[in-house]
Amino acid sequence: MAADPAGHPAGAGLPEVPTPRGRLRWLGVVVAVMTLLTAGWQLLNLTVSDNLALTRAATLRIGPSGPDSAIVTVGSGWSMRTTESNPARGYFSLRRGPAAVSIAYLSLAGRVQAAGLWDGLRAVLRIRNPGLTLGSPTAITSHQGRAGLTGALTSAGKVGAATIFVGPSRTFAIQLIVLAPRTARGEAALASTGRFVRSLMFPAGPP
Amino acid sequence: MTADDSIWTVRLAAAVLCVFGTVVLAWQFYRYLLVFPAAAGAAVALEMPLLLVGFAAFRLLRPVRAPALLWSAAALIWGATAAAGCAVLANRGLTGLWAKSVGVGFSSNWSDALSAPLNEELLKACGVVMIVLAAPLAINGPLDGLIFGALTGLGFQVTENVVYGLNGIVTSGATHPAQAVLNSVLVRVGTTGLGSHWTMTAVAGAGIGYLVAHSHRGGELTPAIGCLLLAIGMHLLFDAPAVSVVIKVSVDFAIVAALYVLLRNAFMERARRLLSAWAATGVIGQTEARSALSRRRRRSELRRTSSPVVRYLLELRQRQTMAAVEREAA
Repeated sequence: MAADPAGHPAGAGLPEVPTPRGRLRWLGVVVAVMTLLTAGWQLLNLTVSDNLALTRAATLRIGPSGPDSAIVTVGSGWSMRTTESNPARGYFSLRRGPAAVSIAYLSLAGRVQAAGLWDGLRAVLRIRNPGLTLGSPTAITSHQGRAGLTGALTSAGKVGAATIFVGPSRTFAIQLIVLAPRTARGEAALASTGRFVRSLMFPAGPP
Repeated sequence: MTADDSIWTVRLAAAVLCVFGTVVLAWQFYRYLLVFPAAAGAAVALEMPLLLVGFAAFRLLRPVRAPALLWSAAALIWGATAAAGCAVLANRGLTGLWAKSVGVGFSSNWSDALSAPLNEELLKACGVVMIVLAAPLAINGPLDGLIFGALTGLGFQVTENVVYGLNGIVTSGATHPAQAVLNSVLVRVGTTGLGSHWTMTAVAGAGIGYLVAHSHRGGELTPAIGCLLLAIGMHLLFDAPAVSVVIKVSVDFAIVAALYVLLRNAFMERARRLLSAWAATGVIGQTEARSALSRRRRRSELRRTSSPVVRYLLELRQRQTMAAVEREAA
């Protein structure tokens, strides 16, 4: 054990400086741990199916329980992408044939902010789906009688629709985005999701 | 391979991993900067006080003298880039596995608590190990490990806070991006900041410090593993649903505060004994023994010296004494 630079007596408890071989061995351990965590879980994840079939008439609650939430009811042939769904955080990713539906619960800081939801959606789409173009909003009414806004979504290979319903308390909103390939089958699937979108219900009811 | 070669290999590998983490984060979030430049800028700017105050405070918490600025910054950068970037990918993989294996209902409540503690504590602890390997003598024992762990955790915490701020824009429908960012900062800095990542990595870092201090005996893995498991447990508590925020933050803060006080007192006791022994045998003077552990007394000693040459030599001597005390008392 080397004496310290000040010439002080060296103690028995001095930590040893790692040897080059020891240092590289520990570096190997660090790189292995980081690779395993970063790539290992992802690879393992790819080996497991991500489709959870939903039973006909299954209901999904979006948002916390109670009046500040919404419910949608699925028909036959729907499935859920479990890795992109989190009921506790209020988002779901569903599929029916070639059509994909993403549902999100949006918390609004104030009642006046509901007015900015359509512009906000346009901005969020530039982040999440940069190739998509959102059309102008038109009125839509849910089966429950709740008024909302809907608009067309288009991109080079996809067509769809975005719909927003503001909750009765106006402190939250539900956003539904439907996308399907720009094919005859895709457009048929898109048309069939209209009923699903209108099935959205607020337990607190329409205002 | 010489010792120098192996040190530079470690430093290069650390730099590559930090760049990799930065690229992952940039790829995930650069569009926020394009679409919401003001809010994204605010998300970063509002974290700067936490970053600067935390960085200065953690360095001051090390008794005798602050750790080297370069390696303190390296620990912070590892947490903010390499650990945070890799955690994005690791957490996505593991939370996905939970969702597929135990059901959406359970996983939506628990997948964060069962994924992030394992992934993130290991990724952050790797940063403290890299400091041990890249900067010989920067970490001599558990107290040094705790300080470098806190710095690594702080870097991670700042990046995570920015990410949560950006996500808040989307979950509020982008109706008021600046307010969404501000709300997130108020919660994550003002409410949970005191018991967040820095506390957990400080505990894991102390374990790595134990490993370094006992390396001459072939390594003592038990305290290191114990500290890592405690850090994972603290993180699990922090992410667990249905536990009050006050309890989470208080418990994590209390654990790290108690560990710090224990380690600091033990270190200072050993350091005082060492200095007394050195003074008794005439290796150092009584005045030096009295002033070596106090920043204020050392500065005062330097100020009393009128000759610049003598002051330079005295400062050099103080540094050597401090280095010797730090190594032996660790």
